[in-house]
Amino acid sequence: MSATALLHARPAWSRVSVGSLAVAAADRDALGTTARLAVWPAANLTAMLAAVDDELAALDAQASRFRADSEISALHAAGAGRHQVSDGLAEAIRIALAAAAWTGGRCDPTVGSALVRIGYDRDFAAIAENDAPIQPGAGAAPGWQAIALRGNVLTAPPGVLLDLGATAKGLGADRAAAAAFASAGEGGVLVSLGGDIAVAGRPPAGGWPVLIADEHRQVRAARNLAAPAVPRGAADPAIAQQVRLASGGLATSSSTCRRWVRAGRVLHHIIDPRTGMPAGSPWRTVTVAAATCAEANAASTAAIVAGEDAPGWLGDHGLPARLISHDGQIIRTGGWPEAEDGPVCSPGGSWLAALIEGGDR
Amino acid sequence: MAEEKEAGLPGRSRLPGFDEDSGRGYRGDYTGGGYGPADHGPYGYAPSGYYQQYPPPAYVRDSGVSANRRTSTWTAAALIAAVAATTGYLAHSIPASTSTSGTTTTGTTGGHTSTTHSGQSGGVQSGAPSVGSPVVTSGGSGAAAGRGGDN
Repeated sequence: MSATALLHARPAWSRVSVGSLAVAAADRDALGTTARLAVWPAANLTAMLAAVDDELAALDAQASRFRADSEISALHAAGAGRHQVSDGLAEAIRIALAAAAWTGGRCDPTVGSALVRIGYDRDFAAIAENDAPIQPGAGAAPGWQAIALRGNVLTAPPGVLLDLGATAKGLGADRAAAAAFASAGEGGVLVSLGGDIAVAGRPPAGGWPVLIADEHRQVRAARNLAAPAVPRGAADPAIAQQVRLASGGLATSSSTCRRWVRAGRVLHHIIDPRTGMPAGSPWRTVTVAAATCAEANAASTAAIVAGEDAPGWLGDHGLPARLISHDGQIIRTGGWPEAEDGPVCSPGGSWLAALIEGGDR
Repeated sequence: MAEEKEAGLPGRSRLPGFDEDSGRGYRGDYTGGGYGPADHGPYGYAPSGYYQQYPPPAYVRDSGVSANRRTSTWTAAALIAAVAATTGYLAHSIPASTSTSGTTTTGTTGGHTSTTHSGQSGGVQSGAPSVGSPVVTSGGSGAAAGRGGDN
């Protein structure tokens, strides 16, 4: 086995109990976070794991900016110009550009340089907290309008580093859920990548039960949810809520996790493209349901960046969302349930799909 | 009134073969009495005169009655158990149906057609399991401890 293959060997799945014999679930590290697959009937788990593995490996090879051998790293190394990209990467970039247009540039794939400048230039687990100064930069991100994708040909100006973090995990969950369901052709499946969730097939009665919290590895102590590999303690009961998801996707963005320290300053990974710095948001955590997980992922990230404008923007787009301010105030939009264990009804139509069908960028 | 007197209780008549004076209620007359051919005893296969010479004891009938009662009791118990088991099985195997009452609104906003469902609770899920506890947590994507890519 080559050194590269060893470096990117797939971690093994670990079976976890989710409190129901009818549902089988497993966890493993993936894409720098934790992946979870939950399926019913339980007998389908093994076949679905293989399908999810294939999708996650493909996405990692296409879009990870932390792999020197990934396709997007090769693009960055090639610099400005016109580049032919694979179908998979083209889809990931196309969705990122559509999300940027949809959110008014609040989630922008050209923030890669800004992330590098503040120290997020490697896998998050390898970021050391230190006093190294933040690299000086030009401030605002180049902007998504600077790049164009026609078919599978990407045109980029000099100095643009792409970061697809606002949409790629959601896209990965969408792809994995669809592939897993197709491999079995029956029952239902839920795929979570770091708390960004896509479902396919038929859900359990009433929908998949999902706990909303600040961080995806938090569990509510009162519930018998299987402990993840790296437990972070009980979710804040004032913040946590259980909801039911029957279709589409659900994503949560939070400024309380993926934080690190540079030059004595606490930073987080959600960049405001207007400043090139971590967004100063009134919201600690925003959860959004949408037709796809990629769309929910983009909307929750944009809501953190949008600040006070977020509830209005989410409401205007009919997106069920739950926003939690730093002082614990909760705001709901788009029919998000107030009751514990209430149903979250994802919109049937996809904004991103409509934009993409409207034409390439 | 003659019948009542003979039976010993108002409204009742004595069945053939019962002796009102017998504490066990059995007369032991097997020579005919409607049980079978007069010359072959009550069961039809004993030699003529056998039961006059060797009358069966009274407990034979008592034990038969008791046996029938036991059979009835066990049959009733088995039926009750079967009904209970069937009810329990059906209660667990029929999937829960959830209400789909609510409204569905289709509208166009900014050139985008969207369908919004309100008050919907997941729909009827024939054969789908019921799951109570959360199967996953949606939160900010904290990083894995191990090495891996990231987006």
